[in-house]
Formats: sequence, structure tokens, C-alpha cells
Amino acid sequence: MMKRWFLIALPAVLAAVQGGCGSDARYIEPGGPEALVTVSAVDAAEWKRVAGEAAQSLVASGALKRSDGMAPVVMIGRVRNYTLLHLETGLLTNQMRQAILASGQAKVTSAAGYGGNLDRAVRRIRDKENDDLFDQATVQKRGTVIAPNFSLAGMIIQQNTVSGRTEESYYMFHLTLTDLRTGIAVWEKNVDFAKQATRPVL
Amino acid sequence: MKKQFFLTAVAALLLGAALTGCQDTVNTVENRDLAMNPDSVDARKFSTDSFCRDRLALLSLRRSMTPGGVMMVQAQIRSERYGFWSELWSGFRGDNPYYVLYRFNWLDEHGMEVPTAANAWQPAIFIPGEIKFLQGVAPNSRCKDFVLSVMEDPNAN
Repeated sequence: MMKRWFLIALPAVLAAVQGGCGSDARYIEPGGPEALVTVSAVDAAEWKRVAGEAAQSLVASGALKRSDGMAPVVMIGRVRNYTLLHLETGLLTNQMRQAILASGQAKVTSAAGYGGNLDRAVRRIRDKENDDLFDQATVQKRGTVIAPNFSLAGMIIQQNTVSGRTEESYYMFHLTLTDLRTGIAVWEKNVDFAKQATRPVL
Repeated sequence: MKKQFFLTAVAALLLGAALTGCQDTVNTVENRDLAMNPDSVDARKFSTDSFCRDRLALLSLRRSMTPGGVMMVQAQIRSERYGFWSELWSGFRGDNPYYVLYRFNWLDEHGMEVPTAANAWQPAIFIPGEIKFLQGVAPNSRCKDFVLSVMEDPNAN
């Protein structure tokens, strides 16, 4: 009798022990199927999905095409964070920059922009025009930087809802491409998603 | 004994009816005389997951050029998880709706993959009987061919 119960209980105990064990560190695909999905944060997968969807929409729209056939210059402006979280918006803007460049439809400037999209070396190197350490023929001259034609900016909005043990977070990423000459928005895109989870009773 | 068997069978049928009856499936209506003139693409499929293959049906695969001069591809896919036994099984397993991930990979004229920084697995959620249009836009005009990958979402199923 005891032996039968032992044989029945043993697999269950082994399964419980196996489930409680951890795992060694391993590489996963960033934002891939094995990546974590949480309700209370914007996960790596979502940054990639938003950037991918927004980049595809921008490239497909033709908004970056100029009538003279030249490639316009885009500056990356500010993506405002209206959520309750600390978000690194560079995770979005860096991917958008690369997607715009890869499309061949436009160039991206580092001479103007917000945060990490601005390379201060563009301005600082011109301060060397009076520095006798440098060969002045090789120092970049003032008045040569190309000003941007477009600005890409946006905002991130979050709304949380709780019902009993279920929590739901809704995020909306809004991006706008503005023609800097006229101030008119020539492209806009909303990318949104919602996540939901239910806490266990115990 | 016979009575017990009969009652068990009735209870199982009632439970099955309850599970399938509680599921919401999708009915669709469209105009019969279609006015569109799509550029259809012949598809070549390679399936390793028979569950995903049997639960989703590829209705059409189309291609067009966007105003931006890059290729856009659209796969029209329908969830085949409707009907008494499909709904009973998905209701028993809690697989309704059906969560999948999909991704487009792009190839240039030499057959080389064109990498894109924003290439990511996109989620798609299928209600039984629902038709969805999975779209992908090529990263640039060099892209000539594509590969569409679809898998069950391991986080949801």
C-alpha cells in the first residue's frame, strides 16, 4: 500500500522539484519569442516592434521623397515620455535613425537633435579653427553643416487599468514627421499595444 | 453500469456544448463581385509545426509598391479553429484566442538578406474564424523577395 502511494507521489514530487529549479544564464534573441513579457514595463520586444512598425510606415508613405529627387535630411527630435516609467527613448529613436538611413530615402543629421541624437563634436571641432595644434586646412569650416529639412519627434502615453486581480497596461507611441520649412506634419503614426495579466489567488 | 455510462456521456456532451457555445467566433461578409486587381504571389510553404499549419490557412499572398517606392507584402490568413471539435479542444486547452508571432525577412536581387534594425517578431491574435492581413514593408528598394515566418507565441499559448 505504502509502496503504491510512493510510486504515485514520486513523479509529482520530481515534477515539483524540477519546476522549482533555476537555469543557467543563456543568450536569447533580443525581443524574440523567449524574451520576457511584463505588464508594468515596456519590454525589449515592444521597443523593436514599435520601431519596426513605425519605420515601415514612414518608409512606405513616401513622405521623405523630395520633388527634386535629393535625399532630405532628418533630425531626431524629442520623444516625450508621458508614462509613469523611466524610459530610454533612445531604444526607439536609434532604431528609427537606422531604418531611415537603410531606406536610402533620407539622411539623418547629428548636428541637430535631442539627447543622444546630437553629436556635439560637429560644433566643437569648429572651435579648433584658432588652435595652432591642428592643420587649419583640415579643420572643418563654419557654414558647411547641412540643416535638416524634417524633424522626427513624438510622445509615449500610458494608461493602466485594474479590475480585481487583473491588471492591464495600454501604451501608445505617437510619432510625427514635420516639414521644418512649413511646420506641417507630413507623416504621423500611432503604434499601440496592451498587456494584461492576472495575479494568482495565493 | 449502463446507466452510469449513459449519464457520463450526457455530462461530457453537455460540457462540450457549454465549452463550444461559450466561444465567440467570427463571421465575415464581403462583396461577391470583387473590383480589385491584386498582384498575387505564388507561395512555397515549409511547415515544421503541424499545429500552426492546421490552425491557420493562407488565403492569399499579394505584393504591391508603396508611394515610397518599396515593396509591401500582405498575407491574408484565416483562423481555422472553428467547428464543434476545434472549439471544444481550444476551449478545453484555453487556446482561444490563438496567439502567433510573425516576421518578414527580406532578400535583395542576389538573394542576400537585407538586415534592418527594426526587424522584429510582431504579434497577431486570431479569434476562431477571423481573417487577418499580415503586412510587411521592405526596408529599401533593393529588396526583391521575402520570407514570412509564423510561429505560435510561447508566452501566450
